[in-house]
Amino acid sequence: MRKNRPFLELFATSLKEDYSLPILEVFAFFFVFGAFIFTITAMQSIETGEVFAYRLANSLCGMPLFIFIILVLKNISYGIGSDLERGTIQTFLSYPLKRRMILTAKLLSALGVATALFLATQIFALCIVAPEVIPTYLTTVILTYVANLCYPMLISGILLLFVLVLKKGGLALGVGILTYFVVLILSSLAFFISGSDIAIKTYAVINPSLALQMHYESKSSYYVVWAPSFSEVMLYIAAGYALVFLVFTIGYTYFQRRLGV
Amino acid sequence: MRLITIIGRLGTVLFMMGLALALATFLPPGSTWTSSSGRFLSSETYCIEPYLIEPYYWKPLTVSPRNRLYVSVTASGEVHAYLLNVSSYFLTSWAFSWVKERFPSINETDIWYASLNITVLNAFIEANPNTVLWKSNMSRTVSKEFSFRRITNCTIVVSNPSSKSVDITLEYRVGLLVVPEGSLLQSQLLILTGIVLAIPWIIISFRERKSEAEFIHKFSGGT
Repeated sequence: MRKNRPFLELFATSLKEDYSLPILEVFAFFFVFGAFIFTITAMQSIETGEVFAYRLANSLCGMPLFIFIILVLKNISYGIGSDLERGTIQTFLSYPLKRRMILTAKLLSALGVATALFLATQIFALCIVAPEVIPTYLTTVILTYVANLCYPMLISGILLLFVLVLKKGGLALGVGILTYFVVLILSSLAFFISGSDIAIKTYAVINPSLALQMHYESKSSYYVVWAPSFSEVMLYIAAGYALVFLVFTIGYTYFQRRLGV
Repeated sequence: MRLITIIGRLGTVLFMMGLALALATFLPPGSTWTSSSGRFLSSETYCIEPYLIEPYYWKPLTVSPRNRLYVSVTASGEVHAYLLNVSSYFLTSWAFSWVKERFPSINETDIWYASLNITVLNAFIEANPNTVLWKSNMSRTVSKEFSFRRITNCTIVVSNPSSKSVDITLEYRVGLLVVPEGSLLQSQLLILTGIVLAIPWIIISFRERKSEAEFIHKFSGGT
């Protein structure tokens, strides 16, 4: 316990910075309220079973996922970014902790707590809207959230790299938001211009929720461009998280070896 | 102190979640099914909705606690409107059997016409009084909204007990609530739990700020 004390101290400090009084509460409010806004579309769906469970979980996390991205981007850019900008990181580096543990504590607060809050509110909303869905279609529900969280995680990793390189929170946030929208727009453009499924498959590596969407849509509609099998969807999710892992590994390596403060 | 802070913040989060849920209960329901039809109702007959032409085309009117049912009847004369908690298929089958039992010699077409007589409806209600969820007064216009505690099969019935024929327009709409009935209670529970958890933290934080302010005031020479 004593060995972990500096880590916990740092984690507590980060929590205090990232979630000062109204922030956590305001985001919890929007996570819950945002979940219910588009639920009606999924509930009106005539589909049943797995497809319904997917559509419901997907519509529940639509709006909150965007809010989640805002929260995470804010935490990383203004949490880690301002520590680098103001030089507070030097105080943390004097702690009897390895550099990677400092970054872990910061990320646990910025990303881990936000993810936990997001998932907790989603389970709460799902229990309110359709309590029978979670026990009956647990795999589908878990898979939907795992696939949907991949792209925000990747963007968070990219933003972390920007923050570490630029050492400016505000600038990194701007670049991060721009990257988020540019990737979304480019992927849509690539699909419409090329008209082939190669663009959509490439984008599915970055955002595996698309592969999952195509998989379930192909079950209820004949007019889908691409109908991946379940094992293919799993492969895309694995590839997506491998990419996330790679980006975070680069971030950690940079923080440990190259970051000059 | 740290534990109190964590519990307090958990309380404020629960409070806000409850507030969001309470707000979501006020979101307007979406429409899933709307039907509007004009009918001619002869004297001492009744009509039902969903209308049963053939069992293949028939769609039951099944509602759940998530649904709201809006019924509106406009007639050229005074009519009764009912909401029964049986499927229209069940009601029609019952009416057919009732007529067949009493008039075994009449043909299928006549059975169909006879089954729409108000006597058959009254016999059904007499035999199954618990199926009547609602009965309107004699009126030219009837409009009512229903909510349900469990999954229920419904049939809307309009009867013309008078000796004159009437033209009616029967409209119904099934609304879909964003959050089910009863969520307001859950939201109130969340808000209450949140307040209870947050109170110790709020009191301690307030006291700390007060003593901090007093300390600053004291050492700044009371200026």
